[in-house]
Amino acid sequence: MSYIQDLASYLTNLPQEDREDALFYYEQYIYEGKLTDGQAVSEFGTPKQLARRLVADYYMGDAPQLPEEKAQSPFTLARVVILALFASPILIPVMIAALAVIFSLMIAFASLVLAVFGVILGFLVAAIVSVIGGVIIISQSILGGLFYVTFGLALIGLVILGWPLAFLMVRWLKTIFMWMIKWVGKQTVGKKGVRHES
Amino acid sequence: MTIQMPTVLLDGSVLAILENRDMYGYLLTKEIQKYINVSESTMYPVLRRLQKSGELVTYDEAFEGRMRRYYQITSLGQTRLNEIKQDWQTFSVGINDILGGIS
Repeated sequence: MSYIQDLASYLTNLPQEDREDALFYYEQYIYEGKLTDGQAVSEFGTPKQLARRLVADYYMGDAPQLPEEKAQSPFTLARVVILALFASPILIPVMIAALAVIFSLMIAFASLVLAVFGVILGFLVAAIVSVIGGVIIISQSILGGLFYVTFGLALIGLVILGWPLAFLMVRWLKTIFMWMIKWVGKQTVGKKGVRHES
Repeated sequence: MTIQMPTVLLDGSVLAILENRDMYGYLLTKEIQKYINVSESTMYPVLRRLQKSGELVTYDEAFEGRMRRYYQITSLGQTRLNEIKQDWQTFSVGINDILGGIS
């Protein structure tokens, strides 16, 4: 298989227009430079490595039109950046540091999202216990029973009101964490292209 | 060399070379490499980014039975280039004053 055909097979994650533009560019470059497949590998890396960097560059761009809704997740972005890290000629200590930072960001993100939903779940459990408890004691103390039932219903109302707020917070967390992962990516993968050892 | 090439200077270099005439990717890379040591795979992301931000446009032209994709600077790119040139002027004078004078 030729370098370009091979490259094309790894670029299926990109929107058609971006894929075609990249393929056109590299095909033309290889033709103009009269590069053999072997020379192409030594100039650009293997098709797989080049593809991973192209995909990462695309995902780290300012406003990529992502092909699928799920691609808006920090986890997808992290995966793309990590694949590109492995595909780039980056110093091992830098790579380990970048990987560590990305993993920590993922764990922090997951914990914060869990915490948001944990709080909501906590309120919901408290509300249900309060309503059930109120109903149980209502025969002994009408006022006390009513108090707990009302309190529980109020909590349920609070949870319903808080639900959109929780989603807003999760979306906000997503934006912040994606911005941070992009930053790590740009500092490492994004800068790999320039060689300074001359 | 231990100095990192900032993205803005890479953008500026590409725009400055395209200011004189339109070029296709291979030619542009070779032209830049006359001055600075950039790898072959550096150029495409830069060109693509400048194209998406509207600083460059492309057009295809047939040459010896094949299409060549030329990159052309836009007025937006020209404005950006002038900014980069001015910033670099100020910056390089300052750094030269500090580091320069090495005989």
